[in-house]
Amino acid sequence: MQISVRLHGSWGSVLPGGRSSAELSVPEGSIVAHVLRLLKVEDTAILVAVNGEHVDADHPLQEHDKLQLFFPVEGG
Amino acid sequence: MNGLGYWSRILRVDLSTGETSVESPDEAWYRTYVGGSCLIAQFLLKELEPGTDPLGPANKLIFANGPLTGVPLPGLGRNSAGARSPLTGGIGFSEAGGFWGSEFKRAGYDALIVEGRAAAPCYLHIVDDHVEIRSAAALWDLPTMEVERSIKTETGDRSTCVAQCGTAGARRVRFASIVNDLTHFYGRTGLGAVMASKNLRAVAVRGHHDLALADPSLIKELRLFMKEKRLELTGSLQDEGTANVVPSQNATSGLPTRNFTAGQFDGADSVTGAAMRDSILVRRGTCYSCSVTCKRVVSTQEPWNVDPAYGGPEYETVGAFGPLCGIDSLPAIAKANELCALYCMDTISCGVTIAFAMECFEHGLLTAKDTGGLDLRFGNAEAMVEMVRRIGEREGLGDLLAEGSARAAAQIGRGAEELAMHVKGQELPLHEPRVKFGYGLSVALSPTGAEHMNTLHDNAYVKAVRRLEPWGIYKPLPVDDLGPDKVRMVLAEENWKHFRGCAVQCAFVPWSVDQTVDIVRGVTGWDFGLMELAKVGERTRALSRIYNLREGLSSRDDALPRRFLKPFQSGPAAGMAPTEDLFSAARSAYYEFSGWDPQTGRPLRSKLEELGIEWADQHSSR
Repeated sequence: MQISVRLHGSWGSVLPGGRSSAELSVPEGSIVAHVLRLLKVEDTAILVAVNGEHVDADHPLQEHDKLQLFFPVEGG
Repeated sequence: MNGLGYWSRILRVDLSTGETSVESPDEAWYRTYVGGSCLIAQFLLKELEPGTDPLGPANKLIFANGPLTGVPLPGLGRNSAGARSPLTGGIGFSEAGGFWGSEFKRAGYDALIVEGRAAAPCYLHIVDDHVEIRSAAALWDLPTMEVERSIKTETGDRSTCVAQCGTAGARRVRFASIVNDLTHFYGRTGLGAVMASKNLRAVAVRGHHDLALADPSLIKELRLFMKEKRLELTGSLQDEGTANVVPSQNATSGLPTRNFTAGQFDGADSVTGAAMRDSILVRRGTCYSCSVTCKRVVSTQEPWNVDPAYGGPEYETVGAFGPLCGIDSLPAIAKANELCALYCMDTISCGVTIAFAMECFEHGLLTAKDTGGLDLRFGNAEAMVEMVRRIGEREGLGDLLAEGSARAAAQIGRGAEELAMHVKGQELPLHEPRVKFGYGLSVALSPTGAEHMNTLHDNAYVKAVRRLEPWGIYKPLPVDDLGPDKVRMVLAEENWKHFRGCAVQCAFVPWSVDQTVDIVRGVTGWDFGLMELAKVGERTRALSRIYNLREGLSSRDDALPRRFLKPFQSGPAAGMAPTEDLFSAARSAYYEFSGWDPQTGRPLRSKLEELGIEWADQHSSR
């Protein structure tokens, strides 16, 4: 199934082309933790939201979900 | 040292006499003080008399490179400036990127010490060994852009790099900045006012000496690493700039709003880095040898008409003139940023001071009579921009606000002091101490008053601490922890970041600690290691601490505004705030772990001896 991922606050990007957002294809039945592991951000993303609501890592994902990953802020 | 990180040449210019000289410290001295803020701290402590007037001729303005300034790797185009601060009365130092630092390095110097006061407005023109004091009488009242252009024309060399104060400095705005290359600011601690107090408008430099590298192949390897990993490590900064942090700040109640009365802002989506990219961004800027291009260049039409020559706002600027003032208009924020660049003022102190005035207005402590008819409520973008202009001109209420929020609050009285968000007289950056307790401790203890670049930001270590493992810290901690382990974390992070401010290295190019050690080795040829790195950070903190104690600051000044001890009532951080007892215990632990007296925070002689700076004990207040 297709989901969209949007990164907030990270300096770099784990998404293709170094962009801050991307469409990802993930297996049916995926949960948030699977995406965090896929992107290797289990230890760095401090908050996750799906369709605008904050969720835990065991939250199940649906087709066309909009996943937002929030990273620590260290300066600016 | 022949250009291996240093030239062993420190230029001293006495503007009162017109004399110049060059000093040549030995290698042991450079390894002890390294550069940047540590070098500045040792000079100010040794050479300034206690009680020196920050805006008098006896103060000294120092520009200091580090061993990494000008090395052709991303993030190494930086250097520092420092003096006794007219804003805090304590030590002042601030860093800038751009191109000036690397050009000054190529001119063959490690530092410039400016003493005295010129009889008439002047600027320094430095081309390698040639140092000339030139008249700046025709430049004194001009905006920064015209000064930059005039000096480049006068020197006949478009590659001349110009560091200058602006008309805000000339008017002694206490948070006036120094800017180089028009868009790169030594923003904090009021150094622009110090520079102007010396009748020195600018330092123009051009250098022709090539830097050497002790191990070119190691530096090349690091360059290739960062080239290969550029997008993975810094792609988002390039895409959205430093304001890419707005959504994360907002999601965690960490986006200071309406003078720190809230941590979330309804209009946050309008002031993100992505919103800037998609609306007013016209191109991206950068610093010497840096591929990250995190700098913004923006332009707007009516009604704000922002000139792209002045760059664009960083996150701190967006936060200060945006959510903190209750404003969600990026064009208005960009205009405030442009005015600060034109007058040359610190956008953090300026925005936070205006937010303070807005809250005073909301509470009736300031009225329309005080503001000259301006409706200075939160959310009024026109009033905010006009107030920036009035501060730059020291006009009306702007004259009082140009003194900074602490002095303005003391003048207004009637409880206004409770609304002034500062530590040691310097305004808080746009981060929320209630959602990261270790950061709050760092801010309260910072030698330069509230700042955010040498501090812990707790949320980086809530899940993993890999970056801190070299310092013996293995356990992640929640943001609201402030026990002894968090204090150890604060100190490890501060020592590392203070070293970065000595080296001088950018925070936005994520070189690891090990890579930084390798860069120092590759540049200088020293058998450099982690312990040496940490000691430099400790020395910087100890020397700065002694300087401040000598000027009368004490543990009473190591405190946060009381607002931060009261939790938010709603939102994700509802109920979170350090208690006074928790904060006080953490402060004592910070002193003790640093080798400082647990009550007064005075660095102990034994600690100074261990750091090899026992000479500093004679300056220590007892």
